Amino acid sequence: MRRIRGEMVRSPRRAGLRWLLVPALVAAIGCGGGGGSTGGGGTPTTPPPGTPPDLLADAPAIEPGTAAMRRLTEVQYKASIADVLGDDVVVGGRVELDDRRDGFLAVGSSFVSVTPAGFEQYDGIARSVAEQAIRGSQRAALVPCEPVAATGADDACAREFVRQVGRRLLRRPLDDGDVESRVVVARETASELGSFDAGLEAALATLLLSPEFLFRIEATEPDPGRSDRERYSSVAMASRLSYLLWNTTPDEELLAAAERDELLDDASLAAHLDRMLDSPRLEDGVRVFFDDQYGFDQIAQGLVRKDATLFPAFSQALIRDAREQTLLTATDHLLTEDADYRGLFTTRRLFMSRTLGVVYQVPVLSPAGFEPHDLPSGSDRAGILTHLSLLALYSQPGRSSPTLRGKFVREVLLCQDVPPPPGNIDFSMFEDQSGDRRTARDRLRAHNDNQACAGCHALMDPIGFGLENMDSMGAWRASENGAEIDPSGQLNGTSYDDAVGLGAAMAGDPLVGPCLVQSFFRFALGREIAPGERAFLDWMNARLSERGYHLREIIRLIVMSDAFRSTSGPRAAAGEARS
Amino acid sequence: MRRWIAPLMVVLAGCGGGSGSADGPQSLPTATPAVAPSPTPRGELPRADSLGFVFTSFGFDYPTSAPDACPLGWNLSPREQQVQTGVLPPDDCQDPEANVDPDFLTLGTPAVIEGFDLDGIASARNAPVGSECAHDDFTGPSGEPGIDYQLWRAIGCIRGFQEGGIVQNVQDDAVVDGSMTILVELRGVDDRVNDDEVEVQVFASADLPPIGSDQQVLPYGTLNVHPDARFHSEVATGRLVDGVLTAGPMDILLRLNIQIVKSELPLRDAWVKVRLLPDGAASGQIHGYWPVEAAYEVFGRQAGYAGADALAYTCTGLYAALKSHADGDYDPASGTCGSLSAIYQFTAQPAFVVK
Amino acid sequence: MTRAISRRTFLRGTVGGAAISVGLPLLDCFLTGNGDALADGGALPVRFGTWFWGCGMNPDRWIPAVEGPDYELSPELQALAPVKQHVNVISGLNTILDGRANYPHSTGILANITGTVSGTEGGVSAPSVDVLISREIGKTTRFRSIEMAATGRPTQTYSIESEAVRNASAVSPLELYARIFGAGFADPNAGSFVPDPRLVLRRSALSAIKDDVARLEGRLGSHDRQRLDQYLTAIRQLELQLDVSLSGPPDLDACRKPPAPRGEDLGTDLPQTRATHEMMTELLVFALLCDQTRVFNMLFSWSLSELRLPGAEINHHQLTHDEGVDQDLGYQPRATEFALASMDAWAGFVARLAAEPEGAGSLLDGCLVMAHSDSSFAKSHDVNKIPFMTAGRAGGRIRTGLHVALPGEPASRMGLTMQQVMGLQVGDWGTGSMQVNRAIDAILA
Repeated sequence: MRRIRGEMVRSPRRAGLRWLLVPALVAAIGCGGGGGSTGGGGTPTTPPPGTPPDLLADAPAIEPGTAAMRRLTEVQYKASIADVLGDDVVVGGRVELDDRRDGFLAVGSSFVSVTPAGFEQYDGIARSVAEQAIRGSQRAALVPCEPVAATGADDACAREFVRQVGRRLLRRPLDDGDVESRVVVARETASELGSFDAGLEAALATLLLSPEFLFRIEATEPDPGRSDRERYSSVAMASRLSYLLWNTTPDEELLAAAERDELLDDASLAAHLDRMLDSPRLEDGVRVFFDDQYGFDQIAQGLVRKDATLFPAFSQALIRDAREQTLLTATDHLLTEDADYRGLFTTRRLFMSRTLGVVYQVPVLSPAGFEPHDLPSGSDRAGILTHLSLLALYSQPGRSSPTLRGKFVREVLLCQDVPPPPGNIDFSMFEDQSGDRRTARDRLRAHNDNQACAGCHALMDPIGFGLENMDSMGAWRASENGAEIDPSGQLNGTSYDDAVGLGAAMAGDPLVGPCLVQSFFRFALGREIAPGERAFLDWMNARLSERGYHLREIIRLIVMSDAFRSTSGPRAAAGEARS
Repeated sequence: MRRWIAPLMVVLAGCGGGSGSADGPQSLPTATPAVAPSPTPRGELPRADSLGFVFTSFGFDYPTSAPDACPLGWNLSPREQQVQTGVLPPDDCQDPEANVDPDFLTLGTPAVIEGFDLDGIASARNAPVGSECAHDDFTGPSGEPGIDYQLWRAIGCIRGFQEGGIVQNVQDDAVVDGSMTILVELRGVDDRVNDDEVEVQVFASADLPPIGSDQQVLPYGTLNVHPDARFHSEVATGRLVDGVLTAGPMDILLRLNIQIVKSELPLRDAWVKVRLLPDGAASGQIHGYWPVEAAYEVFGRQAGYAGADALAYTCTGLYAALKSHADGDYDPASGTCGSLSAIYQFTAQPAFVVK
Repeated sequence: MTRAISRRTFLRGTVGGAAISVGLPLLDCFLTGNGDALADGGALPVRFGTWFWGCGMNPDRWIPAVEGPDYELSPELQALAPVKQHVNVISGLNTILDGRANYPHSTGILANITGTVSGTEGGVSAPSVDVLISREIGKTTRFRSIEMAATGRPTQTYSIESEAVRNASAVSPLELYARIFGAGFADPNAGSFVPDPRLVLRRSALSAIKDDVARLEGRLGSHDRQRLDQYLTAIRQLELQLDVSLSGPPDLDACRKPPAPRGEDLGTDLPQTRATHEMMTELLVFALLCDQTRVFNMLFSWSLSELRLPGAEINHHQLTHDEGVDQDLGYQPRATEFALASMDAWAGFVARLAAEPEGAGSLLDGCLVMAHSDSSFAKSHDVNKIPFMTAGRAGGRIRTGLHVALPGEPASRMGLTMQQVMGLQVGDWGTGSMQVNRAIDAILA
C-alpha cells in the first residue's frame, strides 16, 4: 500500500497578478498554453496552440452512436434568447425542469419532451419575450423593414422579419413553409388588433414555440464515404459546436460559415473550434459541464437546505457562493491555468467571497465578489472535495452523510457503479443500539461490517469518512458529539490520513482521468457511449495519460472525431413502449 | 414631532425567522454570467499575530446600585409631567438653557461598578482636589475607590437608560445592523494568555457584520475599517495578563447612524479592557470622557422631544445634569468641566479587520 | 351569471364582422357542447385526486382489526376520527413482484400506480393512473391536471406520462396561485365577461406550430417521433385551455377567487411541509370549485420521506432504518411520529374538502381521492400490505366509511377501481401478476 502524505510537492507557481480575470488576459493565457500539469503521472507537456490537422491521425475508427433531438436546457434557453433578441429581454417564469439521465442533464435532454404544464409555461414566456423584443431597444436591429402602415398588416415586411429572426432562432435558414404560416399569423393578428407590431409579436412567439427552437434538431445527411452512417450537416455542426463550447445558439459568424458548408471541412472546422476555444465564452460551456456533473442544479433551484438551529451560518447566499467558488476554481484551473484535471483534487487555490470566508475562517480582501485565495501548505483543506459546495450538497439537512459523499465520488468522479440497496434487507441487525455511536463512522459500522451491506457501503463510506471533519455545511470540526473524528481510510489501495490525503489519492488514481473523459464524452454527445466508440476513448486515455488531462485537448479530440460529427442514424424508440 | 418610538418598536419587535431556510421563494436560475473583471481590491489583510473582533453588543455599563439609588424616583417625560401639572413642557431641546427643568433627578447615592480610575483621583464631592469639578466617584466591586463614571450620575435616574430599556435595545440592534459597527484589533499577540506588549486600536466600520439565520453575529467575517480615518482610534499599547488586555490612553471616535441620529461618539483619553474568551469571542469595557456637547447632540438635539418623551426625561434637565456632573476637560477660566467619564461594555466575535 | 353569448354575437361584437381564419368549428363545438351542459345546471363534475405520503406505516398498528362499516379506528388511524365517515380504508394489498428486484422506495410505488413492475430502478413503462384518468376527463378543463408537492422539490412527483416525461409538481403556493388565479383566470365575480379576441388569435397561431410538428415528423426516428407526439399533445392541451378561457367564467355558484397565499416557507421541516400543504389545499379547493381542473395529485412527503423535526439531525426516512424498535412499545417511536403526522395531515386535507359546501353537499362529495404510500413497514421496504384509503363519494358512485381487507390481492386493484369509478372503459389493467380485472366491489355504490 502506498501511503500518501497530506502534502504534495508542486511545481512552483508563477508570481504575479494572474488572478485578475480580465477577459483579454484569459484569452491570451488560454491560447498560449498553461504552466504545465500538476499532479498525476507523465511528463508535463505544453499543449501546442491551435488544433493540429493530424490530431486524430493515429486514432482508431469510430462507429458512432445514434442521434436524438435534445431539448434546450433552462440555461441554454435563456442564453439563446438573450443572444438573438438582446440581453435586456427578461425571461421570467419557470421553464420545464431538465431531467437527469446517465448522470447528466445533458443526456436527459435527449429523452425529455414537453408536458402540458410545461408547454403552458413556454407559451407564457414566449409571449412575454416577444413583446419585450418588439417593444424594446433592439427593435431596430430585429425588424429590418418598415411596414406600409403601423396600424395594419404588411406581409412583405413581416416575411422579411420572420426570415431574419427565424434563421437565428431555429438555427438554420428558413424555407417557405416555415415562413408563410407565420406571415399568416402576423397578418391575422395585425389586422385584428390594428397594429403591425402586434402581428410581429405573435409571429415571433410562434417561432419561440417551434419544436425547432426548443429542441436541437440537428439535421444529418448521407456521409459520402460511408453508407452505414450519416454525418451532421454543416448547419447542424454549428449548433453542436456552439451549445457545447459556449452553451448558447450559434453566433452570426458561425451560422454564416455553416451555411457556406465550412463546418464539414476538417481545417475550417478546426479553425472555428479554435476561435471558440480561445474565447472567454468557453468558460460558459465548461461551467455547464461541472454544474451538470456535480448536480449543482439543486443549488440553483434553492433545494439545498440545512437546519437553521444547527447551522445558523448556512444560507442560500452561502450555498450559491459555494457553487460559484467551485465553478471558478475549476475553470481557473482547467482553462486559465490549462492545468491537468487531476490537480483539481489537490489544488490549494480556490476562489473566496466574504460570505464563504466566514465558514472557511479566512480573511477576504474584496468586499464583494470573488478573489483567488491560496490556502497555506499544511492546511486542512485542499482540492475540490473539501469545497463547501460538494460537502453541503451531498449531506442531509441535519447532518453530514459519508455515504452520500462517497457515492458521489465513486459514481461521478471515478465512474464506478454502486449497486442500489437490496430490497429485502433484514434490518434486525441494526437493532443493537449499544456501543459508541457518536460519530458517523460508529453509526455506519453495522453497514460496513455486515456482509449483505458491506459490499456497497465499503465502496462509499470510507471515502465519506475521509471528509467527516467537514460537517453537513462543510464547516470544519475536530469531533462529533464529543468523540474525535478519524478521517483515515483507503481508496482503491491507496491509504490516506485525512481529507488532503484523500484528495492526493484521487489525483493519483488511474480511474480519475478516464472518468473525466467518458463523462465529458457523454455530456458533449448527450448520450451514452456507443460500443463502437470505446476504442477511441481508450486511445484518448492512452494519449492523455502521457500528455496530461487538459480540458481543451479533450474537447478538441471529441469535437474533431466522428463521434461528434456523424451518427449511425436516429435513435429507435425503447422496446417496451406502451401508451 | 419626530417619532422615535415607532422605529424603535419596529426594531424591538425583532425578526421572525423560520425553522428551516428562511430565505423565502428562491429567485430562478439565471444564465451563468461571464466572469467580470475584478477591480484591484484595496486594503491590508490582518497579520498572523493579530486578533480582530467585531462588537456584538455595545452599551452603557450598569452599576450594581442600592435599591434606593434614586430615592426621589424616576424622571418624568414631558407628557407625564403634563399629567401631573396640567402643563406640557415646551420643546426646548434645541435651546436647553432656556427653561431649565428644576425637578430633574440624578443619581446622588453611592454605587458600585467595575471600572477605571481614569484621572487617578478618588473624588469626593465635598472635597475636590485641585483643578477638578467636584463629584463623587463610584466604588469598584472589591472596594476600589475612585471609579470614574459621571455619565451615570447624570442619566442614572432616567428609565429609558436602564438595563433592558429602550436605549440598550437600540444600541444592541445598531451594533449589528450596520448603524454602529465597531471593530477592535489587537496586534502583536504572541500568546493569547500573557503578553507584555499588545497594540490595540478601535475602529468604526461602514460594513455590516455577518448575521446568521439565528440573527446572531457569525464569527470570522471580514470587515473593513471605516474609509474616514477620523474613525480610526489612536493606537494604545497594553499588557495581556491571564487573558485580559488593558490598554490606554487613546482617543476614540465612533460613528452613529441610528434611525434619526446621525452623529459621532468621541471618547477621550479612553482605556480599553478586553477579555479573551476560550471560544475565540471577547468581552470588555471602554472607559473614556464623553464631551457634554457630543452627548447632548445625540440625546437632546437629534433625538429631541420625541426621544425625551420615549425615554422619560426633559431636554433642559438632561443638559443641565450633563453639565453639572462633568468631570473631564477642566477649563480653568470658567472652572467647569466639558466631558463626562463614561463606561461602555461590549461583547465581540472574532473577525478579520481589513485596514 | 350565464354565458349566453352565441358564436355569431361574439364574432360580430368583437371582431367587427371581418372574416378571420380561426379554428371556429372547434370553438363552436365547445360552446354548444360542454359549456352549455354546465350552464344548464347539469351534474357537477366528479374529480379524481391522489394524496401521497412516504415511508408507510406499521401494519399491525395501522390496519383495523375488523372489516366493514363498523370498524374501529386503529391506533395509527386515530387522526381520522373526525372524517371517518368520508373515508374508506383498504388494507392488505400487495405489490406482486414476480421475482423482480424490489428497488427500495421505487419499484413498489411505481408498480402500484402504473400496473407494471419495472425491471430497472426508477423505470416505468406505462403512464400512472392519474394520467390515464386525466387524459379522459381532463379534456374540458383549463388544466388537464394539477400536481403539487408540499416538500419544496418539483421533481418529486408520481404523475407519470412516460419513462422520461413526468409532470413536475408545483411547490410554491404563490406561484401556483398566479398560475391558476392570475391573468388567465376568468373570474365569475368580476363583472360581465367579454371574450378576449387575443385568445382567439393565440389559438389560431398555434396552428403554425402544429404545422412545424407535422413537417418534422417525417424526418425523425421513432424515438424522437414519440417525443414529438407528446409535444403535440401539449399543444392541444393549450388549445383546450384557450377554449375554456374563451367560453367565459365557470357558471358555478360555489366558484370564487381565493385570497392570495401569504408568507410561504418551503422545505421539509415538518412545520414547513404542513403549512405549505395547507396553503396548497386551500388553492386546490377553489381550483376545483371553479372547475379549473378535475384531476390533482398532492404529494405530502416523498417516498424517501425527508420530513424532519426542526433542530433534529435525522429525518423520517433515516429514522425508519436507523431507529430500533422499542421493545416495550413494539414500534419505532420517533419514526412513527412522522407516520402519525402524515395521517393527521391527510385527515386535515379530507376535512377541508368536506367543509366546503358545493351544490347540495360538500366539495368532497364530488371527489374521489386516493391516498397511498410507497411501502407498509418502511424499515424493511415492505411492499406488501400497502396502505390505501379513499376519501369522497365520487358524486355518489362509491360508498364510504368502510374498512375493506384484501389480503394478498395485487395493489393494482386500486388503480383499476379508480379508473372504473371515474368512468374509464377499462376491463383489465396491469401486467404480470399485477394484471387485474376485478374492481373492489365493496366500495362501489
